[in-house]
Amino acid sequence: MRKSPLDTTPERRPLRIFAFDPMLARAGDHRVTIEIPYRKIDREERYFRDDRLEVVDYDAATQRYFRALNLNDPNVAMLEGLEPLEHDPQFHQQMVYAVASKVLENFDRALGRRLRFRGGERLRLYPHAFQARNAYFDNELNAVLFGYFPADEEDPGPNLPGQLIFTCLSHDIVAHEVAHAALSRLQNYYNEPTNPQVPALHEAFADIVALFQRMTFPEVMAPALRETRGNLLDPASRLLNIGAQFGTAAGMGAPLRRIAGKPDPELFARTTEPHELGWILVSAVYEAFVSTYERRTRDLLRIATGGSGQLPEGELHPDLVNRLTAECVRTAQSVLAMCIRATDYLPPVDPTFSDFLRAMVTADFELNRSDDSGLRASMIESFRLRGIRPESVGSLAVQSLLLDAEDLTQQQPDMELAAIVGKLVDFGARQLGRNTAIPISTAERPRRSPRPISQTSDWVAQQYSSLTSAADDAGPEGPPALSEADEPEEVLREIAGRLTNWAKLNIERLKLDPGRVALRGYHPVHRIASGGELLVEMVAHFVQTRDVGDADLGGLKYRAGVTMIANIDGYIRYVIRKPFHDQRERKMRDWVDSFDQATDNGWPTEKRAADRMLAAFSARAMDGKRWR
Amino acid sequence: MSDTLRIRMYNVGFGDCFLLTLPDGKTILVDAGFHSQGKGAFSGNELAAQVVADVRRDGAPPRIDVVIATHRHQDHVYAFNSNEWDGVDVGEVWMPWVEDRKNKAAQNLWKKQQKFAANLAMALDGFNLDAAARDDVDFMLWNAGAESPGSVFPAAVAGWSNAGALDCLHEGFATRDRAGPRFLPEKKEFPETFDTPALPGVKIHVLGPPRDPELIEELDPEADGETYRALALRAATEGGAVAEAQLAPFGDEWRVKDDEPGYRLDAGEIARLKVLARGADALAAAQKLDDMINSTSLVLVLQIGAARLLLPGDAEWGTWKVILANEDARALLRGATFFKVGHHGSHNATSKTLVEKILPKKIPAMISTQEGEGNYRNNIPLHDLLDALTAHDIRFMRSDKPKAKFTGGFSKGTSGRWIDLELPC
Repeated sequence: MRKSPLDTTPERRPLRIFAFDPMLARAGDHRVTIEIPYRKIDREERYFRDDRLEVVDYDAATQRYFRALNLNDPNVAMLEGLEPLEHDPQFHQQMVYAVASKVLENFDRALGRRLRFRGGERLRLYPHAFQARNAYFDNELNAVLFGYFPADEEDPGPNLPGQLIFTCLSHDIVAHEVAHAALSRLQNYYNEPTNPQVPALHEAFADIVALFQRMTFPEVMAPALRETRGNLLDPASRLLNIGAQFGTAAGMGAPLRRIAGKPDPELFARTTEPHELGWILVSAVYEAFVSTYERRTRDLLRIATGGSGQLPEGELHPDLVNRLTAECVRTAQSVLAMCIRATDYLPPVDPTFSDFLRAMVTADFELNRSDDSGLRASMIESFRLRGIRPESVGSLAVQSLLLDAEDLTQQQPDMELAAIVGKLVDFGARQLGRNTAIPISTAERPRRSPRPISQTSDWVAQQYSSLTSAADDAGPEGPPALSEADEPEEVLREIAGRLTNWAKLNIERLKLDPGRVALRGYHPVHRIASGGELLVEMVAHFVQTRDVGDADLGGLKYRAGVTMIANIDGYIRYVIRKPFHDQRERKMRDWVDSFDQATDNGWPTEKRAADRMLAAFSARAMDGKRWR
Repeated sequence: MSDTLRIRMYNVGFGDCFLLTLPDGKTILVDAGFHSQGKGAFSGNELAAQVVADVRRDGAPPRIDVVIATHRHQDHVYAFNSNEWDGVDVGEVWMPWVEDRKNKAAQNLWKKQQKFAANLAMALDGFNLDAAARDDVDFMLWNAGAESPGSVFPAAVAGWSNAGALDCLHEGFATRDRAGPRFLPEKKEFPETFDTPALPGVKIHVLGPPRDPELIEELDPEADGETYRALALRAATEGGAVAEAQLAPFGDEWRVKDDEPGYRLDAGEIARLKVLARGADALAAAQKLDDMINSTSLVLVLQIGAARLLLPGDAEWGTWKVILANEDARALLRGATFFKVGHHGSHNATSKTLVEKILPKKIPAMISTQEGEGNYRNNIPLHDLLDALTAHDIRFMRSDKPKAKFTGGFSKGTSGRWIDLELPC
């Protein structure tokens, strides 16, 4: 609603997308319109961009640019963007932009801050980067690359043999990849596979974002609920397929994955393959979602059935479908927010599913003490059913699943910390604020020219070099201060410097080992609790790296880290630790050993690649398997 | 009836050809191949002619009771191109299950493999490999049945091909008691054991290749989608045969013309994207192709009286991993009385655990190999492996460098063209 004739800037931008892969959407009703926050768009012939995303349609396989879509064209804008078509590259650009914007909006809402890519640089999207059955995030380009490929000549599934399949037309693939990019930004050490649950967590998290984001589209959920008569676990439902077109076109003959399934508590203990492991996490979250949805809709079913709760044969009443849809969307949105928020309460290195469960429960508890919807309890229960137990916790009650909060009564407020948090949340508030211009202009670093590679195999080493440089190469003084090229925003550079100094003086307070500490992330948080109070905090990650001598860890490093959550008064609320521990180091060595044993014949002169662990679980390799 | 069987290892250079003669006179041929670079004691038709001569019995036409082709690499099947086989009677032919021409998934797989190999061969000039790497790639491509245009390894014999050898195994020979080949293993159970009228009293245990869809998935060259497509792209465009526009996903009407002004990606970004889209590691791709075909190898234990012959073809770690994880299979290996060392003694085909922990001591072993130049053959045979065999008291004989003294059942054939082993059974 506007209040003056001058006020013409829209709040939302509606854009049409395929909610399901086009192969399934031929039926017709899966072209949906989604609304994303309105951002001003700059455009030239070879790109268009807003303040955080940039679409460049350059095809490196055939070395050409495709003309950029003009979303500012009234003819395009008035029709909610271009019509979804498989053979229109500009629609493809619209699709990646719309879905990626939606993912980032979901992150912003859940985290209580505007997700900012490193140095304020835009995340770039290449909708047609190469010809292959893959799509992945490239850290060095700060870009998501989407592939395309011809359907299998011999076994094309419902596609035509040789027909081009575009990964960028799958909502789930786009959302999955942008979620990888966002998680890589929030927790960049999760790209190091220090235990099998780390790559699994990355995959599961990206799947959760894709799946639950799609479930927040009422236009998708309403027909699905009508078809399945409200049963979200119906195995015949198309809802449960992720990236369906991929599995079929690749000659596998079946959609990639189905969610429903009976939990097997033994499975978690004996699974090591990251995708399968990740699958267990996704199914746990999905089941918690379903039971919460069922609890929330039980009254609706009773109202609709004169109290019996037993639905009659035949079609559901459209009003009931709409109400069920509203509940489903609301629940999906809560699950999505809960999972994204958990990332702030995770240790910065070597996470496990247990850490994720505890982080999720704690983050939710901080915001929503009473758990009226029962979502938190359902989550705990469905993790338990799958054998995912909190480590080093006595019982499964919520209390002990919660991370240990620091005792505020034993603390004196730290004035320097208070000043740092104050500065950071001030910056965050301006970015998030509704009335502080849209958005407060934030300096962005010029796009860097990526380091060259001559072979695809060089790619792996490069992806990880950014992880090692600052923390490992630092002298006794610690890592050098951020340069203007790294972080053009002066206030953030200042905060980084002060926080690094503060950490040096408070090593014991952070329960870190004596020695150098690297600050690896600092984020403002402004969340609105269920009671209406504001939660204003700072999340900061500190990492230490220990030399392991000549030990061959396949490219892994032995690290410890702490996530500190501090409030604006200068109190430390949480110190979430992943300390150096002999047992953890041994586990990592065992993991590398078992990887090697499973990989080769074991002759001493066989050359094992120095970075083989990183290579085996790199974004490119993992997603290559994922979308196969 | 004597109580020994004879294993004859022909000196084929880089390749495998073994002839087993059982106490009752039955004969089993395990592979007949050599690499064009093998430089063994035989060339062209000579190997087939020698084998045929060795299975000829007085007055009767030559007969081989069982012909086993462990996998389709040239260095194991090339000699089946020879027309010498046209006069040989055969009982049965055994091949790995992926050779079954009625198996659609397997056939699709071979098609992709051929395409992959052909594309690699076509695109090879564009990779600017150094001489040693180029040599290795050519070596592996030839072995896989594909030749690159500028290959230094042309067909050793005019008209011979991988397809021709396979045709012979599927349909060739003078007569067969069993019309079609056996494709092993035939059932899902592992390990599979069967017997056959062709070899009375012999039990055959099949330990590989694994018979599950995951094998097919592992063998699929498209599993590494980027390499698969990049090679196809380069093969199509770099020879100039296909214009790039034809491979573009959208027509020129969507394209921004090169001379249109405005923003462009910087050169570094373009270069990087190009490597990601079109870069492939030719040597790794060739190695992968080599591994994939080796992984289809039959792994057999032939139980002949008291003898247990372990014949693993060129099976690699993927197959061994399955075998070593199975108690029954391990028990069979523990009872082995003879070991044909896989893949010419390379690091790929024999697991350290197998030699050090599973195989019994003091058994004889044979390695058909040829030490040579080039990265691929540098480690063939692998010294670690030879040392481990020695340390474990396994008495091995190499075809290329036989020991000076022939003892313990080994004996030298005519002018070094083969080595025999007499084995009690």
